[in-house]
Amino acid sequence: MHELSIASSLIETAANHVPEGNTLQGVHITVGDLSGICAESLDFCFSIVAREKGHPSARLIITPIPARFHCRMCLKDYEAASVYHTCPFCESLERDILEGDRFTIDAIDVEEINHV
Amino acid sequence: MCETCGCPEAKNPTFGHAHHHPGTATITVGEDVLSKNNLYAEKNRALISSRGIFSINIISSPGSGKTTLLEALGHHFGQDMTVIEGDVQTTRDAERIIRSGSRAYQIQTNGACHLDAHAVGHAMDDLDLTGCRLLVIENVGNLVCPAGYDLGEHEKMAILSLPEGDDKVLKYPALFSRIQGLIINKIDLRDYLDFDMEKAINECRSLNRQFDVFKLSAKTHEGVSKLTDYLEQRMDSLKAS
Repeated sequence: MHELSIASSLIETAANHVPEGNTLQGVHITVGDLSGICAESLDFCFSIVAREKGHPSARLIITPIPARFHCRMCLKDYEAASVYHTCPFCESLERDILEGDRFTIDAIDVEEINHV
Repeated sequence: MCETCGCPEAKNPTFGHAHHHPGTATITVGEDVLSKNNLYAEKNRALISSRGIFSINIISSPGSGKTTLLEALGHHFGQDMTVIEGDVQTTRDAERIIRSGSRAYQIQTNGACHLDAHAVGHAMDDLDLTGCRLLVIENVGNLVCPAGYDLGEHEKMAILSLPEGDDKVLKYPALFSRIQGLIINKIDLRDYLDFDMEKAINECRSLNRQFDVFKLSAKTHEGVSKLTDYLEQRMDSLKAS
C-alpha cells in the first residue's frame, strides 16, 4: 500500500549517491520477509517513479531475506517461511526474531553519460 | 555474455560486478531505505525530549477505538496532552479531541496510508507545545504501512479491539514486533465475542519480548486508569531525566 512512497524515497536516496556525469542504472536493496514490504508491488512502483523522476533506465534488484528465529524453548535457530510456523524442532512459538525485518538500500549501479 | 546482468564481456564469472563494465560502476550505499524519514524522526524525538514531553504513536485498524480512547485520555490529561491526528480526510477526529479538553492538530494525508516523520515535524513546528507533557500521534487507521515509519515517538502502541478477532497479531508481524504497548480495547464486549486475549498476548510475545498490556474499554473507561498511570509514570521519568 505504501510501496509508492517507499519507491519515491528509494529513488531519492539512490540519486543522492550518483556521481556527476553518471546515470542511475540499478538500485540493490535487501527486503526482509518481516519488513512488511511487498517486493512485487515495490518493483512495479519503482519502475513508474524512476521514469517520472528522470531515471528511466534504473532497475530494482531485490535480495529477499527469509525470517530467522531463535527458539526460546529448545534454544535452536531456524528459518521459517511464515510467522505462523512453529519451531521445527520442538513446535514452540516462543521465539526471538534474529533476521527478517531488514529493509536496506545496499548499492547502486551507475554509468558514465558520455561513455561509448 | 554475462548470464546475470546480460553485459557482453563477462570475463570474470564472479558476480557482484567484480568484472568491470567500461564506464560503469557499483557504489556501496548501505543505508536503511527509510533513512531520510529516520533522520526527521530523530530530530522530532530530540525536540520533544528536550522539552520534557513524552510521546506515543498509536497504530490500529480503522474503528478500533483510537479516537474514543483519546477522548478518555483527554478527560484525564486535559491541556497536558496534545494530539496530532493523522486522517485521510476530514477534521472530525481533531474536533472530538478538542471537545474532550485536550489540544489537537489535524494532518490530512489526502489519501496517504500513513504518517511520516517529515509531516509530523511540520505539525510540531505549527503547534504551541507550551505546557504539553504528553504528545500523542494518532496514526492513520491501518495495521500495515504505519509500522515501518518512525515518527520520533518514544513508544509505539497498537490497539487491537475485540470485534477484530484474536488472530490479528501474527497477520501483522511488522507492527506487533515493534510495539512497546498492546492495548486491547472494547473489553466491555468480552461476553459477546470469542476473542481470546491470552492467545493474542502470547502471539505478540512470540514476536516481541518487551511490551506492556492494557486491557480496557475506552467507552466505559474500565481499565483506562492503568494506561493513564503508566503514561504518568513515563512522563515523570522523562521529565526527571
